[in-house]
Amino acid sequence: MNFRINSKKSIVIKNFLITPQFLATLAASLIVGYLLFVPPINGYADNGDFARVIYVNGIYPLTNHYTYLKYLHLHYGIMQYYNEHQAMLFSSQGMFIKLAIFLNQVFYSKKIFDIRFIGVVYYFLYLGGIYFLTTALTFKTKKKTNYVIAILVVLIFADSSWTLYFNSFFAEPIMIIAMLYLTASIMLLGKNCKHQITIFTIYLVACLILITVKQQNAPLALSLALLTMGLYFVFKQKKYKYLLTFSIILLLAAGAATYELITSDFSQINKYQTVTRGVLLEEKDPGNDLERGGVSRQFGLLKGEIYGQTYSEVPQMSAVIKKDLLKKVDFAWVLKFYLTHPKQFRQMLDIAAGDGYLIQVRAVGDYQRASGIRPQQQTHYFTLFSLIMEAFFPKKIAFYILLCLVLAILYLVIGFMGFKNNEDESILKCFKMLAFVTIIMGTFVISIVGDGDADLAKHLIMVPLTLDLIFLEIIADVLQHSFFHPIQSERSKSNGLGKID
Amino acid sequence: MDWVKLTRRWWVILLFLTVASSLIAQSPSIKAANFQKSDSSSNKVLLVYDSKNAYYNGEKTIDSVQRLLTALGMETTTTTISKYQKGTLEKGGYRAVITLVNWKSINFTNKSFITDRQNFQGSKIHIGQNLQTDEVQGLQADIDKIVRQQLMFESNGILEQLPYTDSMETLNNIKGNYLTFGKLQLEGYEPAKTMPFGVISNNNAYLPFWKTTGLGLIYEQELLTKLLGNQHGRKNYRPMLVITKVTPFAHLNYLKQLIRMLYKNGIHFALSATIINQNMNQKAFAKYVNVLKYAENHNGLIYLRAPYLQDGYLTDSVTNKSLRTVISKNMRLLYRNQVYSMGIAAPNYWNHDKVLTYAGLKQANEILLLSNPKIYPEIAASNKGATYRKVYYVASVASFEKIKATHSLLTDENMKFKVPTALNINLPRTRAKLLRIEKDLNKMDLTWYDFSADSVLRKIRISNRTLTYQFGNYYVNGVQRNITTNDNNQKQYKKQHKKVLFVQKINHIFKWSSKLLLVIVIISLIGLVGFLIKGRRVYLDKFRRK
Repeated sequence: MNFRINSKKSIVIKNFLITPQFLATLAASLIVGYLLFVPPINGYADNGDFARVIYVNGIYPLTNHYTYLKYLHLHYGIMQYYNEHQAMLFSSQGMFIKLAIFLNQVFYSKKIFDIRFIGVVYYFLYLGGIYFLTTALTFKTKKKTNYVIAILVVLIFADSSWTLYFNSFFAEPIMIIAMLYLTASIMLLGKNCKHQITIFTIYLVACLILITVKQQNAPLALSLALLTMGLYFVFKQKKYKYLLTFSIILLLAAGAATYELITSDFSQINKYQTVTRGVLLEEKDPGNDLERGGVSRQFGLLKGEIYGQTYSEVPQMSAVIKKDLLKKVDFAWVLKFYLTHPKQFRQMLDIAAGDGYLIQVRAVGDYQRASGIRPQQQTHYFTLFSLIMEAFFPKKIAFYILLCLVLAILYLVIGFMGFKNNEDESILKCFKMLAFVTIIMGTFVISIVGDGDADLAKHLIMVPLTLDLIFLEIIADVLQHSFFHPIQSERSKSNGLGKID
Repeated sequence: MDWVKLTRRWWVILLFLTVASSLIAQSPSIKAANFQKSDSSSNKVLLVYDSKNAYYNGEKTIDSVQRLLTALGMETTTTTISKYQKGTLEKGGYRAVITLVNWKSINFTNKSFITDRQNFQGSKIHIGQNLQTDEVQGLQADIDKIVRQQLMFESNGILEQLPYTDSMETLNNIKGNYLTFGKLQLEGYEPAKTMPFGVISNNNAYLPFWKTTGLGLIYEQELLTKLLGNQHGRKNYRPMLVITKVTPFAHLNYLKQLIRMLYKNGIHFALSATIINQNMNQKAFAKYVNVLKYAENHNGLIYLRAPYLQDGYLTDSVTNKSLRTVISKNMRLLYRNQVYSMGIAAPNYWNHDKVLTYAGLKQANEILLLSNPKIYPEIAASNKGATYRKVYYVASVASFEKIKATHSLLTDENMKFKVPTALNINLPRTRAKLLRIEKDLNKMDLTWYDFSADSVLRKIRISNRTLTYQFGNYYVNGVQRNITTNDNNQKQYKKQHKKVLFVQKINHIFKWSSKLLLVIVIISLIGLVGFLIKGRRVYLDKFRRK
C-alpha cells in the first residue's frame, strides 16, 4: 500500500519535474543566480537615483569613496538611529527594501547591508513570475511545443539586461516582476482556470504595485483600468462585477495618488530635464518659441544640459531657474508645446524609439571595482536576446505606431469574433492588447514629456517589457493553434466562476 | 675681452631686472612696502578654531576671518583646536596665531596648543570668548564680564545695535601701551558707559566677537591690518561695487537698466558674471554678451564668476584637467567676444581646495572672494589658503542695510576699509527689487572705488595673450583695444568634421534596415488587406447558391 502511494507520489513529482514551467524556472534560476550571486557579482552601479530610495529606507553609502556610475557597490550601511530623511517620492519599492533589510539583519548583519539581499528578494519573486508566466502560456495543452515556449521564456526573461537590475536600488525590478505576474494572471483568468479569485487578487496586487512603484507609472493606471474592464466578460456574477468596479476605481485612485505624491524636488528635476533635454533639444534656436510660451528666451541656452552636471553657469535649483523657468513650465505647458511643434515632438519620439529596445543601462557599470575591471564595464553574459533586439528592432517611432495599430486592429477583430462566438478569452485578449498598446505608446509620450531624452533606457523599460510579453503570447498562441480562437471555447460558456480543470 | 663680455652680461641682467620690476610694480610706494615685507617677515597665519558650531552659523565666522586674512595677503592655515599637533606653531614659521572660539559653552582644550601658543613669539589674536590665562597674561590686562546687556557700536554719533548679549568677557586695567578699535556702548546708562571693541596690547589682540558686516567689519579690518602691518598700512580703500548673480539666464533688461543708472551717476562697478560655453549660435547668447560689452563701455569691469559646482553627487568628478579647461575655455570665449574679464570671482571654499585653487583661481591675479554657500562640494579640501596679487573681501550691501542703526552706515565717514573690499548687490529678478536697489544706491553717501582712475595695472593671461587694464583702457599684448558697440550677430561656429567610426557605420546600416523593414511591413500589410478581401469573397462564394 505504502509502496503504491510512494510510487504515485514519485510519478507526480517526476511529472512535475518535466513540466515546461518547472524546467523554465530551473534554467532561469541557474542563469540568473550565476549572474547575481556567483563572483564576480553583477548588478547596476548607482547613477545617483539610489539616493531617492536608500536614505528613506534607512540605508546609506558606506565609504567616502562611493562612486557613481562606474562600479557596483556591494555593501551599504544600515542606519542605527533616528532617520531624518523624508521620502522624495511615494513608492511601493520600500516594502521590498524593508524585506531585504530584515533578511539581511537576520542572516548577515545588523549594521552592514549587502545588496545581494535585495537581489535575493527579487530573484525568488522573479522565478515565481517565470513559473507563473510559463504556466499561463502553456495552460491546458500538452504539446511538445510547450517546451519551445519554455525555452523562449528563458531566452527572453533570463536575459541579463533585465536581471542586472536586481542587484541595485532601482525601481525597475519591481516593474518587471509585477508585469510578469500581471500578464500571467490575466492570461489564466481568460483561460478560465481554477482559483480565479486568488489569481484575480494576484493580478490586482501586481497592478497596484506596478502603478505605485514609480511616479512615471501613474498614467499606467488608465491602461490597467482598461484591462480590468475586460474582466467583466470573465466574472459574470453581479457581486464580482461590483468587485471589478471597485478594483477599477482603486487602480485609478492609486494612479492619481502616485502622481500627486511626487514631492516637489523630484518633479523639479524632471521638469528641468524635460525642458533642457526635451523641449529645447531639437530646436536650433528655441528662443522665439520660449518667448511665445511666456518664458525668457535666455533659457534656450540651457539646451542639452543635464541635471547634476559637474560645471554649470547657474545653480541648477537657483531662484532664477525655479521661479522664472520651472514655475512656468508644467505638464500642460510641455504637452501644448509639443502639440504645437509636431516636428520637434516627432524628432523626440524618434530619439526615444531609437532607444526603445535598449534594456541594459549603458551609462552605469555592471561590476564591482576590481583589478582588470574598467569603470562602467558592461557584462554580456546571457544577453543574446536583448542584443539581437537592440540591434535589429526598427528604431523609428513610425514603426512602433504602425505595429501598435496592426496589433490593435488584429486583436479588435479577434475580440469581435470572440464576442460573436461567446469566447470570453478572445474578448479579454482584445482588452489586453489595447491596454498593452496604450502602455507602449503612453510610455514613449510620458518619457519625452516627463523627462526629455534623459535616462531613456530606464524610462522606456515598459516598452520592451510589454512587447516581449506580446510576442511571447502571440508565438505561444500560434504554436498552440489558438491565435484566433481559444482552445476550449466551449468552456467559456460557463457563467461566472466556472471551475473547469 | 672676457671681462668686457662679463660686464656686458651683468648690465643686461641689471637692465632686465629693472624693466621686469617696473612692469610688476603697480604703484611705487606699495611696491616698496611689498618687497620689504616679503623679505623681512612671513605672511603665514595659523587660524585655530574650536568648532564650526553649524547650528549658530559659526562657519560664517570662520569663512569671514579666512577671507579677510586672504584679502590682507596672508597665507592662512586653518585647523581645529583638537586637531592641532604639537610643534606646529614653532615649525610652521607663522607670523601670527588666531584663536577663534565659536562655541563658548564648550571649552575645547588641547594642552599642546596652549603650551605652543604660550611660547609663540609672533602676534596672538583671540576672537570670541573663553580667554585662557596665557592669553590674558599676554594682553597684560584683567578680565571683566558683562552679563545680559544690549550692546551697540558707537561711531561719530551713530549707534549700531548688536544682538542681545548674554555674557561677554571684556578687558580691564590694560597695562602699558595699547590700541583700541571701535567703541561698544551699553544701553540704558546715563552718562553713556563705553568700552573698547578690539584691543591690541603687547603684540596680542582681542576681539570679543566677530562681525561679518557693519562697523564691526571695519574695526576688525583696522585691527588685523595694524597687527599684521603689511603693505596695506594706513591706506583706506574705497569699496568696489559688484553686481553678482549675473548669468546668461538673468533678467538682462534689468541689468541694462541698472548699468544705465550707475553710469548716469558716475558709479564704477564690477560684474561677477558667468558664461555658457555651448549653444553660442543662439540669439540669447549674443544678447547676453552684448549686455556685458555694454557694461564694459559704461564704467563696468568684468570678473568671471567661477562655474557652479553641483553639490551632492557629481556626474563626473571635478579634476585639475577638466576645471582648467572649463575656466580657460570660458575666458577665451569671453575674450573672443570682447568681454575682457580681469579676474575671477569665487566663493571662499575655492581658496581652500587644492584643485579649485590651482586649476581655477590661480589662472587670475585678482580675485573677488565671495562668502561660502551653505552647502558646497569638497574636491581636494586643503587647510591652507593660497595668496594672490590682489584679493577683495566681498560683503553684501543687503547685510549692511539689515543693520539697525540710527543712521545709514554706508557713508564715506563710516566705511573706511583697510582691506580691499567689495560690496555686492545681487542682480534683481523683479522690477520692484530693481527699483528698490536703484533708490538705495541713490541714497548712499558713499564714494565707490573708481578703477579707471587707478594707476594699478590689472593683468591676466588668456592663452598666449596678455590682457591688461589701466585708466579705463584695455590692452591686448600691449595694443589698445576698443570695445565695439555694434551688436554681436549670431555667430555660426564651424562644425568640426567628425571621424565616422566603424560602429557608427554599422549603426547607420541598422538605421537603414529600420526604414527598409518599415517599407516591407507596409507592403505586407497592403498585401494582407488584399488577401483578406479576396479571401472573404472566396469564403462567401462557397455559400452562394450557384
